Amino acid sequence: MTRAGRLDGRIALITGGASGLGAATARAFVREGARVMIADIDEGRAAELARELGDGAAFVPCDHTDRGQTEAAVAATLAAFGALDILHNNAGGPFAGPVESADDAVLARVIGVNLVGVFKMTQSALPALRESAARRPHGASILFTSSLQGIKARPNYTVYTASKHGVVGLVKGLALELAPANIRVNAICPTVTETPMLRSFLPGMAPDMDEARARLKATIPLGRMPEPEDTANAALFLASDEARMITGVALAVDGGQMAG
Amino acid sequence: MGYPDFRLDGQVAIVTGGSSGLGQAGALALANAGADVVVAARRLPECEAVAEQIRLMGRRALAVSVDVTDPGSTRALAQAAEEFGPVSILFNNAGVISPKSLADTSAEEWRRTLDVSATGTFLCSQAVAPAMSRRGRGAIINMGSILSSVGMANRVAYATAKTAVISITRCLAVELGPSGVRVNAIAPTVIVTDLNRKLTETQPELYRRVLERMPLGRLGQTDDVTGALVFLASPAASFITGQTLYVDGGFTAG
Ligand SMILES: NC(=O)c1ccc[n+]([C@@H]2O[C@H](COP(=O)([O-])OP(=O)(O)OC[C@H]3O[C@@H](n4cnc5c(N)ncnc54)[C@H](O)[C@@H]3O)[C@@H](O)[C@H]2O)c1
Repeated sequence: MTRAGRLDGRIALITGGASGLGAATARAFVREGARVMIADIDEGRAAELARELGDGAAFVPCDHTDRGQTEAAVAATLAAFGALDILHNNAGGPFAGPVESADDAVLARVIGVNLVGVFKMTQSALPALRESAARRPHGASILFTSSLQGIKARPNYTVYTASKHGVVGLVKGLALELAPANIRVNAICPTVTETPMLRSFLPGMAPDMDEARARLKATIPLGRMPEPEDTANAALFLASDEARMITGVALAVDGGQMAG
Repeated sequence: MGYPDFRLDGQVAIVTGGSSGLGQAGALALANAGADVVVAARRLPECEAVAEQIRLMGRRALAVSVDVTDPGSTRALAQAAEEFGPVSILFNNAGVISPKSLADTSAEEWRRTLDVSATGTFLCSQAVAPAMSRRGRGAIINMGSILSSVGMANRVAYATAKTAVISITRCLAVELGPSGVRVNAIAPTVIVTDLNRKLTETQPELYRRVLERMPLGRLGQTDDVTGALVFLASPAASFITGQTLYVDGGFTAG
């Protein structure tokens, strides 16, 4: 059965798109008809995924903490696909440890990657997004991968939590500032998911990985861990026209953890 | 796991307050996504008219008269629906508005407003959830409002009822999650339907103020909300539960 894709004709830029949640989202977007620029600091894996996705995807090496590189990523998207309709600020970095263990280098890295970098990427993309929004009846959209730690806290993740709460503030402010331009802005807040980042996360919860996983599962009412596709589907919905009245929200993909 | 679709083929949905407004739009949207639909509301002929629209789309439909505030009636609805097919989606949409000030709201109006939205959501969930839990699969979507999180003059009964709905959503998400039943709410901004069309004419000042506070610059249409309903009902949202999804053009962000 052929049917129209949810994102037919859209052009998306996904930071951190080479791995984990970003890669799952890139696959979902391409499957639904979008063309995707994978912007990642890890050029090798970005190239590999772009090859896997064929004509629907391209890649650009990009460290989103560097303004020159965020500008270049947008330029590469426009050169490859001619426009930019969806920016997905997904790149981020973990930190687990008591607050005293976050030295200046950690603070600069975590706040830099999770908050300052997404600011820069957004600023670089805005001219192209405004142009797209003016052209399309349902406008353009910006997504952020915040985290359940963007709306809830957990001991030993305070620096990460502060940075991801910052992302939700950014989302609300941008939603209000950009609504008149018909650009919607939303966050997805996934709970701990099986991606390469998980290895840096679980040790904050228990010394043993299996023990940490079991403890985590016990806090999730649905009784399982999420798949990267769960987050990708939420991103897909929020980026689509079906969400045309949704802006400024932080949607948890957490199996019910927030509720209880 | 692959990519689950946003389709609802082979599923059976119950929509309360399904004869008009958001309920009717929701029933048609669920059918459009592939579900067979039980259209439930007080007035049977109106339900039958929506059911007929659904049949014309090539889906099965059943019209049932229900008073969501009466446990006998909600149990009968659940039973009739199960005979029609295994129910896996419940859209608790029935609600009444009481657009009155603190001084003008009678105790009876207060009780009636809470009864339809809050007690109705509770009773329908109580009647329908056991079969979902037994089968290990179900999605309940409750109807909140922007007034689930902000206050407004002349809406004390309605806002209280809609805030209760969010509490029901969270509690049932935690309670039913282990048996595979997800429970979420959608919380729309002012959507122009029969519920409030008259009010937009009799209280134009109020709706002008709402519009001024709507970042996206317009009031909602029923179609703006149905995408969120279908998403939350579908396998694409299979890890989302306990959430209230605001479909409000940025109203509650600011
Ligand atoms: N996995 C989880 O449990 C989880 C939960 C909640 C939120 N998140 C968030 O989801 C996002 C993606 O995480 P993931 O789990 O997919 O991790 P991941 O490690 O699999 O992927 C992150 C990707 O980001 C890239 N990246 C890192 N720094 C970058 C930079 N400065 N510029 C550009 N790209 C950069 C990496 O190369 C990698 O490809 C992050 O923002 C993370 O904080 C993850």
